[in-house]
Amino acid sequence: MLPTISNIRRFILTDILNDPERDLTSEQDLLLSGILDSLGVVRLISWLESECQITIPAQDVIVEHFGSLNQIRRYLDTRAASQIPS
Amino acid sequence: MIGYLIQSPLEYYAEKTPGHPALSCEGVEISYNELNQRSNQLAHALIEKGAQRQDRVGIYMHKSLELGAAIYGVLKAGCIFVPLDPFMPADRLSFILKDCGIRHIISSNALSDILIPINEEQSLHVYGIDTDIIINKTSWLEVAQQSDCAPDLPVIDQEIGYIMYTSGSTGVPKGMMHTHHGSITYARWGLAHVGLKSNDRVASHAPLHFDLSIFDFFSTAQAGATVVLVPEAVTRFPASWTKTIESERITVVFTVPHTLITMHEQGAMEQRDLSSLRWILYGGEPFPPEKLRKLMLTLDGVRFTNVYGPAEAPSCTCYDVPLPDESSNEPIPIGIVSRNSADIIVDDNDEDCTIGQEGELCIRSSTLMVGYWNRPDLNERAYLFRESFGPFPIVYYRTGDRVIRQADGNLQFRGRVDRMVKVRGHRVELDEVESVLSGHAGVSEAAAFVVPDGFDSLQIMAAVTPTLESTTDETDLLRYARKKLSLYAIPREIELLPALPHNSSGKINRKLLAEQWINEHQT
Repeated sequence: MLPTISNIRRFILTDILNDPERDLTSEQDLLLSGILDSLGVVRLISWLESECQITIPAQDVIVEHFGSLNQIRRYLDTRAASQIPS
Repeated sequence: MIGYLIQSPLEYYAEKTPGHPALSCEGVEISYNELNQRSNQLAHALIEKGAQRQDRVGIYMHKSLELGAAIYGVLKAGCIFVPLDPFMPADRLSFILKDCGIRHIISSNALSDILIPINEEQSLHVYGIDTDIIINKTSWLEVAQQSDCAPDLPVIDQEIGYIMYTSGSTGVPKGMMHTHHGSITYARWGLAHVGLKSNDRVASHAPLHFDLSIFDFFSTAQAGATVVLVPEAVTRFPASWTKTIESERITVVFTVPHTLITMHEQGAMEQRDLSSLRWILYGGEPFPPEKLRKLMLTLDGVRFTNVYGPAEAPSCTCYDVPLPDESSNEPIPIGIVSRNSADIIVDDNDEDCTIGQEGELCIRSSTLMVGYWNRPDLNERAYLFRESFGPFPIVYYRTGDRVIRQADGNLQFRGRVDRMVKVRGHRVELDEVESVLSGHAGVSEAAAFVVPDGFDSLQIMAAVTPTLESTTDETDLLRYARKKLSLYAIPREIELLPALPHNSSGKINRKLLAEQWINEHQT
């Protein structure tokens, strides 16, 4: 089961940022708002790989896929869809 | 001939190669002529709204084409630009604006929210925004109504061009003042060392408030070449960074080892065509030789230079790195003093050291800052003077770095004389972190120390003893720290202890705290 946007938000705010009360919308830019730095990105990827039981290749770890909660969820959906047997 | 001010190359190439790209950002370019005109217009707008000669004007923006217009616009108005980290917390921003007497600031809609409370306290005029939440503003559309000819001002190169703020050990940041002359001297060092040509495309990866930017923008301008502005989000994703190098055909990069190591380890380099790269300069902290060797083997044909120098004296030493020997763990030397600079190494009595004797490196150069803004206390201790033939002494800047001169003439970095550390290449004064934490009402005593971050750099940890009545916890303290400290200075964890260990002289035993942390986290 893929983590929901809510789950991802909770992981980022609690485990990475250590600030569970902070506001974070699904559209908000995670990088420009200072919520994720380069180390935070690494930890997020690790967690997503373990939660979703997938490997995220290095070339997929780009701004377009992980810039916001919505983008992350969209990327995970794409990965899940490509694994459905035809 | 190119003139003597920081903006002179822009004006020179606007005439000589007007259509050549001066800046590129996410695939969109602006030519030398256009950038020159836009910055002239901004200069007129600043003057019209009351900006005076040598007024400090803040630049509070993310990487964008407008950033270039902002830098040159401020300079052409005869003012001093003050880069403001867009990730800086509001308290720190407010301090710098007050400390520097900034009344004009170039910004963007994305950052205007943060300016609102500050604007209520210290009335600012904000350029580059069109949101209604700020009253005293001038949009880029309004700026474009101004004349696009350069204001005629008798600025001389002795005047200050910019002030860069950096971590201060007393708990507040300090601003380094640099003249046009100093800046041009450094820019020309970069131009000459790398042999920049007009077809070069130099990355602007570092934030504007980081002194690598002087090379990125102004060495590039000296050659009439193109600056490729890299958006902040891209710099956080190594695989996006390599994509940008490829799509923008970047030829020269000046960055910190952390960027290059993560680029190699996470950047999917084998999926990219990075053949445009020809020269990589790095600085800020040591590069582990084995990792450097691997990167150099991957980027065969690319030249590598270790550039050493504090932002107070940016042109210091450099070392063109040959491929390190296999299994060598010898630290890479910081090299010899740069062209047009002179160095001495002094002992505790300010006497010259002998070869092989460790001492403090002091630098004489036109690139030296002319002092910290409004800090006569720091200025008194920052320089070393030697007698000259005339009434003015010879001035050296005390780098605060301990070095040793090898038999081959190259210098080796040995450590600091104070508690300044580098976190992924960025300066942090541990004393500043402690000072800030101690300022929290619920904290009795605070200690900040560094431990390895598992990525070849350091991370900051803190331990505090709360006061008896305090109800604070780690989350509360981190939130407080985020409001006061710049991004790299924020501790990763803050441990609350009933008491901090002290050594026999009564000082906090930070070394023990670090050792304990490392032992507890051995994997």
